[in-house]
Amino acid sequence: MMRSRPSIVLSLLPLLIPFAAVIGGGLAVTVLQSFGLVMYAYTYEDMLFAYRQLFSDTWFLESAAFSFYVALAATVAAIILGTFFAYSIWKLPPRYHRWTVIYKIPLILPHIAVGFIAVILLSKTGMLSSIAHQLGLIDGFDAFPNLLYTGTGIDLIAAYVYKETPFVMVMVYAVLSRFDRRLVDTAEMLGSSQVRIFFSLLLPFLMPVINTTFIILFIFAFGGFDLPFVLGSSNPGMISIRIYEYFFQKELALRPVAMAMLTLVFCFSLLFIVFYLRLSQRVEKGVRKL
Amino acid sequence: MIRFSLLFSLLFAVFASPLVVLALYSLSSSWSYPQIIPAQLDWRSYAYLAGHFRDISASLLFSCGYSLAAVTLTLAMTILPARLFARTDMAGKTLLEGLLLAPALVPPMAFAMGAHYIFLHLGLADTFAGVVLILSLYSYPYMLRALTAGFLAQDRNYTLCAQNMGASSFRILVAVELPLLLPAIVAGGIIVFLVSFSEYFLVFLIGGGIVPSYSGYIFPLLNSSDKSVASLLTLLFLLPPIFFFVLIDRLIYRLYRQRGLL
Repeated sequence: MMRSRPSIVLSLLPLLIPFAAVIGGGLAVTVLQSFGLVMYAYTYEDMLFAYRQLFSDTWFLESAAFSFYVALAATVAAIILGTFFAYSIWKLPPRYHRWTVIYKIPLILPHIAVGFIAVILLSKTGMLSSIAHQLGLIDGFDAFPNLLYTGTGIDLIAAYVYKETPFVMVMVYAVLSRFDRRLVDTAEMLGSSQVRIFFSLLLPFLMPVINTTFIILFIFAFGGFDLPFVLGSSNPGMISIRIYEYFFQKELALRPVAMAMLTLVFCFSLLFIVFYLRLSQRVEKGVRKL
Repeated sequence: MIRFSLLFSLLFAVFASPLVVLALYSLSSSWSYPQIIPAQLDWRSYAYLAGHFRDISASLLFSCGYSLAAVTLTLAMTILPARLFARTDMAGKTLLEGLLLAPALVPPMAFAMGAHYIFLHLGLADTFAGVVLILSLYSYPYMLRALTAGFLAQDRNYTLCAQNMGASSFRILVAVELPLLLPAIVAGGIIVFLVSFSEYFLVFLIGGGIVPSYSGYIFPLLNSSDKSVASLLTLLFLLPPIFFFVLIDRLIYRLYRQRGLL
């Protein structure tokens, strides 16, 4: 249907006005303040002072690298686990499917709740440690490895995997339910193995949704705040916690440093999306389409 | 059957067992390592719940309030754009759609901290309306996607029929298209509600601790040494979403029965 230009604009206004004011305006203020502009009564001689401060020391790059590592590890694990679970559910006879809804529990749990669960499960005197002791695997809580608040980020990764895997399952299952099962039957009749069916038949079909999910979850974990905030500051600490410290806990004059980090995180997110989409397109060109 | 039992046990162990642990913790104030089941059950955390009933229910109500307001506002913001994206071809549509879905992709901190400055000047900081607005701007992409898919799945002939019979475009939207869109509204609304209800940081940043919220109420307790109360209050997080899921499910079922659609 062709519609006149004014009616198109009118339809978009209810969304475009708040979008421009809050998202556009918010981002503009973030970028401007990172250069020391519109900073209340403060004026800065050096517009790049915040960026110079970030790169004069190593903590910023260390935190950024740590966030990258946690987000990458958690998202890769969640994608693999979620795809496997969704595929397993899909292969079950349909009458069992509704019983598997328990996997949606973490979707309802807020991130701060998941962080708390990670603490009670993973701490030295926590549930996993108790179970390990009862099974005779360790002698006491001293023997249980330090999993919380360490530079390995195991607690953050585990919590993100718990929270993100069901999301992957929902996304992948939705696509799988549109897949023609007769193709699998045909492949089986022609004698191909289950492994081969999964990797050559289903996985190429799932790649688009896996790519979308990967981008959403990676950026969420990379820039997420709630979960690292509950799990406390580890060293080097997630980038979002550093931003929080500069925004709320240091003097107002240092706020441009927080805004500079946000600007860089934002630019990185955009670059990551573009780079990932390019890469996945290039990889998929080599794959034979059905 | 064996395969199902295996998979179900695995899913239960991975996703549901933490809730069992929370329930056990909530029933015990003295839990000494390395017990798996607490040796002594007590109801101290439930007594805490009863003692702080007013604070807890008030913060839960506020959280539900701004979350439901965000659902309403996102619906109002996205319904016309969704119809436009589903039905009209125009130059730059893909780009515009991508741009408008962006708030779900970029870290919300990036625009929220700048938006806080704007909200301060508009008098929206530390207000209920400000919280609703920031949550809506963060979560509307889910509503937009759900509604666009809903409009795409809709049979255009209903709209054409109504047009031919002379209904105004407002009447078509309210009497024809919205009822048909109900499943998509529910799907998008559930995600917007969950995202808003779960959010801690945005509510804390824009609400400034003045707008009450359940996540703000529970947060200091999560880091306290009292794991028992924190466990019980964490489990409480599940109640409002489940309550609304069941309510909506029942309501829609009844509505469809009344209209003879089921």
